[in-house]
Amino acid sequence: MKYCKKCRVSVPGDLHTCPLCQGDLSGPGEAGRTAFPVLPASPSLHKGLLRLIGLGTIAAAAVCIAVNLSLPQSGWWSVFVVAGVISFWLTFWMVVKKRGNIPKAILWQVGLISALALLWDWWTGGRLSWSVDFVIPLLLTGAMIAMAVIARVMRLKIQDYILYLMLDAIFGFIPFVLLLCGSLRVVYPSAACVAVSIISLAALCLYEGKAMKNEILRRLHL
Amino acid sequence: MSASEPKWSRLDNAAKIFPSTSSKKDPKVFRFSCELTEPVDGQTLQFALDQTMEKFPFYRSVLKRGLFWYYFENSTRRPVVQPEGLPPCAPIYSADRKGLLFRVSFFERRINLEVYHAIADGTGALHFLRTLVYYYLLERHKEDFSGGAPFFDYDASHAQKQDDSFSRYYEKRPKASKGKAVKAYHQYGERWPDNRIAVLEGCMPVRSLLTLAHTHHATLTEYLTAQLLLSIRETMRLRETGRPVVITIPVNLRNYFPAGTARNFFGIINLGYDFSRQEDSIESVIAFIKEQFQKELTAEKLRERMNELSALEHNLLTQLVPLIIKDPVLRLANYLAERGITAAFSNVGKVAMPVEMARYIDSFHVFTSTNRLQACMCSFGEHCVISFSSPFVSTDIQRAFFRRLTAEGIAVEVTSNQEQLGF
Repeated sequence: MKYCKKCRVSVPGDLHTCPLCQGDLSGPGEAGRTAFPVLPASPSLHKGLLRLIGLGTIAAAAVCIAVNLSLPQSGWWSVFVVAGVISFWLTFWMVVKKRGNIPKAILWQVGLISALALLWDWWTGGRLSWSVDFVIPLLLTGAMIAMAVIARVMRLKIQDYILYLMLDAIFGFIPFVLLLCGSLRVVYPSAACVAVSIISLAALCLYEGKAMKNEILRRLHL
Repeated sequence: MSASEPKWSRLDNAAKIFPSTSSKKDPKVFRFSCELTEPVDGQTLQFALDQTMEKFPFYRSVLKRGLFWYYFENSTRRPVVQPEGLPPCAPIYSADRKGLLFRVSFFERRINLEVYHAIADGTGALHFLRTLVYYYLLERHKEDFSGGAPFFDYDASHAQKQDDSFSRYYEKRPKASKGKAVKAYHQYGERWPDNRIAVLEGCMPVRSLLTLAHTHHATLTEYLTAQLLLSIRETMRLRETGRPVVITIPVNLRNYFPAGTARNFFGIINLGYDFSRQEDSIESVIAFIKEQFQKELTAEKLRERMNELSALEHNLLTQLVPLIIKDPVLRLANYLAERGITAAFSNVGKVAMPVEMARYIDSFHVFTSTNRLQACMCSFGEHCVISFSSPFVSTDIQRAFFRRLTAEGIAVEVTSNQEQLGF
């Protein structure tokens, strides 16, 4: 065993310096007596790839701005490029962050993409049209179907997705309300959405009524 | 209730702070290790873990968010033993990735149990590790125990193990007034990258340590707390000596209120020593600590504090605030509490294992994730191990501490994870 003369401590293993004072050790070392493994430094591949794509998109946006500044007569189109890049990274980041829980990730995507669609729609058209007519009802419907399929395929436990499916089905009534208020120009997607919502909620109530009730009680306990 | 319907339970009073305040910097994870006298076999360990899980069904819980509170939900996940491949006390709980709240790994002769603090405190987790090691050795050395399994002393039913002992001992009482917390001295300096922690373990003979403490008419905890205070004093800059050095010490409430729970049941006391006003001789520091312990460590005092914290949780107004608001409030409270703390010292005490198994076990170790200096200690047989974990690169306090002990003639064997940190 090695020894530090200054600290007067023995040091098992085969270190070169004293862990306490970083001074030299004396005595013979012994192999194979370590308490902690040396971990491989893992410069993870996807982190490197992410950085590369990140730099790529920022560079593309910067080039667009530069070109746009040089050709002002073409209109301020680079603002759209920048907003597009931001929207892409926001949704992408949300997927990466929530990837451990797929039903939750789906619900968050529905919320985020809906919000972005509303913003874009308002910004480009001055009023809400395609976002409420198509994007939101189709997203909500798609999410309900996706969750039902994924729950089947991945054999998820009911408590792992019931909350998200329930919330999505309830949000599915928002297009219906808009429809009743007469603020929609295209009706079919919203009508389909509310139908799928009703079917989902009915299926949940009939087959998993107890689980649904217990989930609500759990999530709302005081 | 159908078979597939999960059971759920509330977090106990002490656990409630952890989900809100765990971060990458301090994931609120602690590790217990058992060092055997022979290399660990992964397959046998998995077998032992499966058996242990049957005794501790509560450890199958995952943590979920409700609208008002976090809660535990029973799961059917099976924990899998892994060769150690993560830095010590790496984060366990993540709101976006559901999983069990502990992990079991092994490296060479060590069996490691890492636990997220919300499900258990040191004593609770130690019950789990002791059971795991018990089943491991029972299987690994079948031939030794063919005459019957050795007697194992942990005696608690499933219900007792997952009892919320805080609520068991809660009673509504008028509030006691308390003093205002002062800002304590804080160690600062360069930290290890990637939120890693440096672990430094000193293994010492129990008997000589006890003799040394007794010559100062102190218990081991009192004596070592004093030495830690003085070690911190040694490394303080002159202009910082105006701030008190505050050491926070967790207290195992099971010693004051009978409970067999394997969940959280601890309180804390803070010891503040002001070197600008009080003497810095070991005698006066020990005298101060003894006086504080005598004052604070009484069932009445501890119950008062416990009731105070529980009252906060039972307050209807607190209950009705959504979790989204509770989270930042608890983080702020935690930040304010940490301002008043310099370091922590936790003595888990003697670890008991059946005598027939003692020859296969070398020592037990304990340390925790932290964003300040933290010392933990436990002993087994002849070996007492004090582990320092720290986010700081500087080891000056640890060096001062162990040099103080070796100067008194204690033989110290130091292990660290410095190779792991690339030092």
